[in-house]
Amino acid sequence: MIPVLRRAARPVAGALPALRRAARPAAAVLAAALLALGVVRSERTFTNPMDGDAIPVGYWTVRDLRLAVEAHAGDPAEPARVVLVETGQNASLDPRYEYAWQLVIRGLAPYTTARDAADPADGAATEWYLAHAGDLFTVWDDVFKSGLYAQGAKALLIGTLVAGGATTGERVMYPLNVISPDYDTGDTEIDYTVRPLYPEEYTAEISSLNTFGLEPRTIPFDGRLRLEDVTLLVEPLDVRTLPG
Amino acid sequence: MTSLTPRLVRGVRAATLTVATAIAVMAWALSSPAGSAPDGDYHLATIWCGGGIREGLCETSSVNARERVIPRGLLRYSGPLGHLCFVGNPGASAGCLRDIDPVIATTMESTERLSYPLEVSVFSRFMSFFASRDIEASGLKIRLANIAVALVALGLLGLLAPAAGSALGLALVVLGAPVGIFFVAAAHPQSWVYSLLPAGWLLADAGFARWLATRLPRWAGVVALGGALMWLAYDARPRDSWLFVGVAVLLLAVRHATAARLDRRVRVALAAVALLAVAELQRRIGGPRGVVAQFSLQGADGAWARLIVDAAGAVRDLVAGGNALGSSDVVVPTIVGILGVVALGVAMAAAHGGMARRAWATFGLLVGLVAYLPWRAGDIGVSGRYVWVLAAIALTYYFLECRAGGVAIAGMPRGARRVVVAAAGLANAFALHAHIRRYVTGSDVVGWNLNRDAEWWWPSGPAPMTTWLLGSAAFALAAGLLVLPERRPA
Repeated sequence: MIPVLRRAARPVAGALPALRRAARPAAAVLAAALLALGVVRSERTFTNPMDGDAIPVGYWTVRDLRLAVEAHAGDPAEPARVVLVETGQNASLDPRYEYAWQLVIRGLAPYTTARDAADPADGAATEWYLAHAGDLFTVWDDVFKSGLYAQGAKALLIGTLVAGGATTGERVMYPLNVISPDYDTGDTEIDYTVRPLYPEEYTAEISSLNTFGLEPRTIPFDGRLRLEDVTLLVEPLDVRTLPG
Repeated sequence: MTSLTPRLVRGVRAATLTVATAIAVMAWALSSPAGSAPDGDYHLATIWCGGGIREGLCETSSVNARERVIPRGLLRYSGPLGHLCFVGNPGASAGCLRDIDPVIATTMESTERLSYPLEVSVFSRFMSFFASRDIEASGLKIRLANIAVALVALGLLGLLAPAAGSALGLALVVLGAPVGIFFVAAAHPQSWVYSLLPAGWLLADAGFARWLATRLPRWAGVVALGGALMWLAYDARPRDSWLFVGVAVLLLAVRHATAARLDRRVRVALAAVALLAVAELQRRIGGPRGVVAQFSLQGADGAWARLIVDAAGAVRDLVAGGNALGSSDVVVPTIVGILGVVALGVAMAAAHGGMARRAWATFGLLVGLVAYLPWRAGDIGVSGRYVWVLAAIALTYYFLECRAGGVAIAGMPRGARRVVVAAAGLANAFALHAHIRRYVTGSDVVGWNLNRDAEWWWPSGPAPMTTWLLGSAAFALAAGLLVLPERRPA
């Protein structure tokens, strides 16, 4: 019986060294596969709590926005241009005087976003955040000191139209010239004097900010407008002309 | 072809080891937000001011010209709306960073922590290049720069002194995680003490041995390189690393003083260096009288009791993290300490053999210092992290002297090596998991899945579980490459 078993075991024993040699690479491949599986699963299931809620680590004042942009731009010869973006919960447009309206944005975010105007390769533009620090007017005032916006700045006002106190759900866009920002109505409000852009003023540069594909509208003469979920995009500004 | 293949294998092995080490340390770099190192506020402020007066980063106080003001977000006590909002409460995640005060980067306030004149070191000057208003991004860049510095130092050691590199590698496998690996990547001057002092000492040691044997200038250059790294480590944190640099210099003298080929000039030079080191140690510690005074019994709350408690705690910290790790409030599981002791014990027992009496005596003295110094406090704090580098040097010395000065790993049985790799790899994995857990959800949340209910993570990059998986696997791979034997071609 035993010799029979021995004979039967011989081929198995002969295969053992080969199996042992194969065990290490097989274990390595298995471990790598399990690791890859774990990584893929981890990346698929993870919801980053910071998504859309970036740490406000870069709140800048106007005086050092230029430094920030230049530090990030890399090429000093390239114009360092940013698009200023204000966001708010709602806005109202009311006639102020002839061909001029008062734009009040309420529920304002506590910062102004300065978005790099250069087209990013990956579609995600670099952004800087200008702290209002309780005085957004100072921020705008500093920008105006540069002389760039002395005659007002071209801007796009985008929001959801409100009619009869209820939202219509319709997203609309008004090309405007914003001037004389004021900021004495509270921490979360800003007040501009605005007028509609003339057709010849609605240049390719300002229309390029309209990435939402919305048709430009004109404020009804002597009309009032109410908007929700508002964004104000201001034409690109060369930060090298900023004071400070 | 015959000579190319082993060289190619060695090259691939070295490259894999470098990449695995980088990934393992980077996982630790990602495991906590900026400012999580002990006294993170102070060290970040030192770095922010390391580049001198810079607008928006480090300015002169308008009230007191001797004061420095820095972004309020760097202050530990800037309340729940600062970058250090998570410090002091292990149950609190770093999710509080999401509610941070919008003007925290633009409001400049006095640190009230920086001494004047500022302790500006090469470390703080170099790291200040990475400081910006974006504290989180700056913290990450500083950590990555520290990892690069460590990899360059270790790479130089591996290239110029492979045997010494192997001994240090074994010491780092058993003692590296969690304290060493955390600090190497930290925005903390101990990073350079940890990564540059052992590497510099070993480069100087190996270079000196080769110079004695060959008298070739290039080996004198290696000694100078080692000395420069040791100086950088000293400069990064002079208030306590002077002692460790002194010990390393003494070790150099002791290891080579009895070399057969020493001529009189070298003996005199070594004796002078040793005397200078002893004199400096004597001056700083206070001499035998000071030591006796400190060891005297002072009732139930006396020195001996404190020696036993503090020394035991510090030694535990060396392998188990605990008080030494992170913002002094990371809960590290007990299993990390147990596995750490197993890895350390098995490695030392398996490598043991052929050690001279002189080496035993020196090693005993080093172990005595490791146990004694945390108790003594003063400039050396009561925590394992203060003496970790001395413990790493002591252990490396042990592995160097084992097997009659050969490579200790070569004499270790295969089974022991596997136990060392497994225990050290698991200890690192458990510690890294606990460390990520502390900041992602707070230590009060239990569970293996670090992705679930996360309250904080870096805005981009790998997920917490990915970081843990890759970091743990990379550490185990690096440990395996360092400790397990190479396969010989059939």
